[in-house]
Amino acid sequence: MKTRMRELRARDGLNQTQLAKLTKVSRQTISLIEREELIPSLLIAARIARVFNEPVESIFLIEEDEL
Amino acid sequence: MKTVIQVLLCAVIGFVVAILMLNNFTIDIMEYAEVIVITLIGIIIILLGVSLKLYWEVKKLYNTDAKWDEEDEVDLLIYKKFADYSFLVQSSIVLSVLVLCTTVITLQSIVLTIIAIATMIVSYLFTIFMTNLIQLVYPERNIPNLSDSKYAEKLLKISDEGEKHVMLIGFYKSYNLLNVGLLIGIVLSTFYSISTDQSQLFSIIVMGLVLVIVNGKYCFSIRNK
Repeated sequence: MKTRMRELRARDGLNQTQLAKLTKVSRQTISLIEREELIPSLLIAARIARVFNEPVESIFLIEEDEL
Repeated sequence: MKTVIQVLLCAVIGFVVAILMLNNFTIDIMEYAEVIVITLIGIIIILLGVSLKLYWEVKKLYNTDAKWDEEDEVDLLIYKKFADYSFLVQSSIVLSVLVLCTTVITLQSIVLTIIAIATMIVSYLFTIFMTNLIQLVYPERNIPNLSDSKYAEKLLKISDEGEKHVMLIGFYKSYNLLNVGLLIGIVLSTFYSISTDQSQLFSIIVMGLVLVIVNGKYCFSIRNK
């Protein structure tokens, strides 16, 4: 699964620490998701989507063979 | 590939042990007890000194006014330094216990025993500083106290999924290492018992029991979920 989080953070001028505070998780979690080492839970994905004002599926891109 | 390396490593250890036993190799640790104790005390003092340095560095970093990407870098640095601090303090506690046991068993001078007890107390104080430090750096987190009887449960409860993911990897690797380490410990203790005629049977039984209990605890934990 690919993620556009880094790109969206840059767009909205947020660093990992700020995004972590807005999504009520640790900076470590944001970093892991961004490095594609952790697939977030539905709840965290929804919180991230709300911060960026984007649908979940446009932030987390699931490949066809992963479905 | 990893399995092949592990098998080869075990084969090399087995070969070396067999060769040493065939040549009637003996080593009596009692003869070197004083040197071991003094060396360990030296290592503990270095560990505590570095820990203290890390403690002040974390405090200094926490008070740094960083912006944008620098804020993330500072947070990462605090996290890494805190992990190093935690490792050094845990190591100094284990080494202090080792020193105390060695001085008591080998009936060394009372001064060394007192130093061993002192290093143990200081190391324990450093673990208290560790909890205070994490509470200072992350005031919004409700970090449980080390003395809390439900420390593990509470720590897991306040950890988010990223932190749990990192802990899981770390714990699982440690669990596997513990299994291998204790098995090697049993083999080495058996070898030591044979080569020095000083029975280590009690330690071997304890290590075996620890292995069974740890594996049993893990199996029951995952089985009942």
